[in-house]
Amino acid sequence: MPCTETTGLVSAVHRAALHDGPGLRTTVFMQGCPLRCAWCHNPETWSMWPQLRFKGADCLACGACVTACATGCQSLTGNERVVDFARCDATGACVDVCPSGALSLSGNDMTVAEVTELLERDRVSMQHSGGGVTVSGGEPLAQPAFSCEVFTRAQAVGIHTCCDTSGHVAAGAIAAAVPVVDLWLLDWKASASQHQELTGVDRRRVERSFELLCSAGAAVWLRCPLVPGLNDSAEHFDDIAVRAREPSVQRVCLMPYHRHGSAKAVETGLSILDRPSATAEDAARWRDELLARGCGKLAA
Amino acid sequence: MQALSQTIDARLAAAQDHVDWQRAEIVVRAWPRCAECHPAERSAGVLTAILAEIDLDLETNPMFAGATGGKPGHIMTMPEYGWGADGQARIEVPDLCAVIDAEMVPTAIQDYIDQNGFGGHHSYGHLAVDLERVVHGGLARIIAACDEHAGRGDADAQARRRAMATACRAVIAWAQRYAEGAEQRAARESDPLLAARYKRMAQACRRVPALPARTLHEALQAVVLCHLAQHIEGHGLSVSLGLLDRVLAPFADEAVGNSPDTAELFEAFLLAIHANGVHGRFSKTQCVTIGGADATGRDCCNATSEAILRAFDAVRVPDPHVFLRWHPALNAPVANVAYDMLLRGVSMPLLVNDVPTVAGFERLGIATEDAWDYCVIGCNELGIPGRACETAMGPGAIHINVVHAALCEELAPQSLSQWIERYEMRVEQQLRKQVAGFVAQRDRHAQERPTPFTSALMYDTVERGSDCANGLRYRTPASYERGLSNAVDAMAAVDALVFHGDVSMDALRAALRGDWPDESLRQRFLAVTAWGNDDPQIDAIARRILDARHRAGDRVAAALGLPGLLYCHVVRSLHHMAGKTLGATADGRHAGEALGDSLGACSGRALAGPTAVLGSVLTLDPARDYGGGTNLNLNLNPQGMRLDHLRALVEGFFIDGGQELQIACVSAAQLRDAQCHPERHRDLLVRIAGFNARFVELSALEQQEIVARAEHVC
Repeated sequence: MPCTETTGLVSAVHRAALHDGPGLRTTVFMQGCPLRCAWCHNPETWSMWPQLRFKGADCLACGACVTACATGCQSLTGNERVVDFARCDATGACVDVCPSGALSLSGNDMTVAEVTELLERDRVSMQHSGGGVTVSGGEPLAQPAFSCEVFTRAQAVGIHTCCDTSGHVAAGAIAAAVPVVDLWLLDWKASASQHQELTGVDRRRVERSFELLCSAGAAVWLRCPLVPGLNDSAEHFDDIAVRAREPSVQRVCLMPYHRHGSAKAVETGLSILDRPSATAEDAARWRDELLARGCGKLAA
Repeated sequence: MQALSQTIDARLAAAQDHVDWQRAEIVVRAWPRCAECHPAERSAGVLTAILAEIDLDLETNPMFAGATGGKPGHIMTMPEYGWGADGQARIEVPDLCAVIDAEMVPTAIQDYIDQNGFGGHHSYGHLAVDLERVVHGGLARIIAACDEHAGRGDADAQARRRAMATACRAVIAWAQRYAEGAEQRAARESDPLLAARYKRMAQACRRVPALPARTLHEALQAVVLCHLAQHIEGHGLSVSLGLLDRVLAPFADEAVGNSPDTAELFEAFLLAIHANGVHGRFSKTQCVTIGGADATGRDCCNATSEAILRAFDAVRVPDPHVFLRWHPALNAPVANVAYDMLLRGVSMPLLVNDVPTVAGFERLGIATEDAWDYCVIGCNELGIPGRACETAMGPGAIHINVVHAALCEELAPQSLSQWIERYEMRVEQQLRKQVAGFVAQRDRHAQERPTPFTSALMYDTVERGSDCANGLRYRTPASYERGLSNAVDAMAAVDALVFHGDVSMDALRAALRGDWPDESLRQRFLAVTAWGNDDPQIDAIARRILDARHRAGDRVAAALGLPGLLYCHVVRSLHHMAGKTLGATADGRHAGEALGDSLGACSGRALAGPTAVLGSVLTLDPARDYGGGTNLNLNLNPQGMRLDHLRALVEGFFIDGGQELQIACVSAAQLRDAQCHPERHRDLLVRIAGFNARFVELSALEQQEIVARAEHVC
């Protein structure tokens, strides 16, 4: 198959993204993630298949979806719309007929060529800001062939590449991506003792990915989501500070918890953590914790 | 802001809106004395009377002499045109219009208006004079030139030349009145600092604008007096201050380092312009243009460029407003000040790119050295100081209206091509009528309401004995357009759902007649990808519309013997006015709703981010499509946006050929409006934690948090 026809399941593409690496970036969010982080802000990307989203506030209760759905997961009683997500086969038949956009699919096929064409459109602003492309997710290396081809083609035309990964991926995927990724945004989510509980997977693969990247001399930014009272333990800060000493680690980015994901979880029939967002005081306290441990690579 | 500026600003802010009939009373008295004169000499005679009698305001601004009324908050009256509230003002400042509406017009003035009113509330404005000759030559030199050419030309030219000299003498005499008043004020002032300021004002007014300025203060004083005199003469909206930093360049050494004295000078200057009482505090879009390159590619910034920007940042008044001309070699510190201001939500300067703008003027045969002197002469309209000032005119072509009318013809179009053909026929009829009307109206201005003082400050007018209404070096009538984004969205939706979909034309037309009674059908039309999302198929529709408009415009220009037309897509608040009288349209817009507020996407329809909006606009050819100027609003959230991000967005757009940019970082007020009307703000991006999200997609609780954060930032 010609390389331009390699296809990935993409949740969304955000252009002119400001926070997924340096400069102005085009961020490609891949569909599908092996983790189930309690605080996830993109739960619509969990499924390895397209995921139906339903925004009740936008629903006109016209009933078109009920007619179009072959599985019977859509129902309308009076003006009350109910979606049985467990029965949904995500064919998108209901999305096609929804007039208001209340129903949508996270996860659509895109070819590498389609992605690279989008990158070209913002090339000038990328170059002037030191930006580029970031493949994020979901988990970008759960679809390694697609992600690596995006990186390869971007690099070939001088576009800076970032891979925003959980690290819970096959060693082969890391090895394949190392030559074509300019900067790694590696999540460092929880201490080893809490990782399984809070993300659904243990930390061994993440640690292995970290070591692979360090041994390859890759440029790494550690991205640390922090939830007050959940993963902001002394053990976790000790661990971050130790990891940050690796020469490969250029920057440590603290990412205070925000409840953005909880609304999206409702739209997808999922249930995740929903608690008050972290405060500015929380963020300041966390910075102090790391500074006290000698971590000098904190992002501004 | 400097202490003096704070004082002036407080005086202006505390002023009560009030109608000032003084100018009207003087006009009513003076007009009969000049009734038998040539119209230009009548205008000069009336101006002489006004400037000899109008109250001086020496209290509000001790730095600069000159005011359009005796105390701040006044609304100047121009009965030789008419009286009433401007339609745009009714949208933008309704409380001010209530003051105007509540005022009883004195009988004598109403009788005068009934007999002599020209129509409207003031003259056409939208011009920039040659301030170089004011500041570095002085009005005495213009008077001498009038005398030198006195016997040349026909009787009309000779009369106009006499009128120009008379008008210049009237402005000089006005300055002398201020000089005398300032000397008296200084003599009785106990505060030595204030007394010194009045003495300086008096010394300046003894010299300028009659003679060349010798200092930065004198230069700015000359500009204030001559700028306000143009308004007092009759010009209303959009009298521009031209390329101010270039005019002030010989005094740039005084501005190096932007000392507190320099800052005070520029701040007080902007406040003097801000206090202009034509239509009261309604924005008159008195534009200052700075920066840019000359015809050799040399950057024209100097120390006053940065000082002017910093003064705008300090005083933060909506009028005057400032444009920065961008080019690849733009002075980096000036650019950085500009980007920093934008990032902090100042929403100024507005940005305009030299290369496509100059190309637009050259396309109409304007000499290269003149084209590189362009400036903004209104909201966004472009002109050349003293040489070309005709880019704003009447109602213009409202694309969506024309497209809608073509759709609603008895036999509906059956394809996009047929629809565009009908659009072309209709837009040609409209342009033919409007451009001819514009030319005739300018001739009428020259014949019946000439403005000899303003004319005297233009190129060639003294030599020719012509009026600035129709006698400038270049004639560049424009088509003044709006609603392109609505038109493109309507055509895209109908093409997808009617011409190539399952909606019948009858069903659509019934829906439009009934203002979209079936919401689900409207949502289907809204769901079609819109202009401003960098979609090649949609953007191609804009290209086809504008190509059709060009063909029509070329035929109209040829028929009228014009070198071509300049096209503007400038909205201000006219998108509200146009929307109020337009029924439901096929872009999913309800009857009466506003049209798109700029050349960018319609509100809430840019779903692919700011670079996609810019990408769509970049498919246009500004030199050909909108050589007369555009406005492109780009709303950005300041959270997380850094100066290098902003610079990349701006410079990327300009390097790719974009023409104008208006950047607004989002305020809490906009966020609250988005909570009330999410359909209007679907494209509003906000920063959550480590990522961006569309504001309207957030829960109410999250939205409230973001609003609170924005309020905290503010």
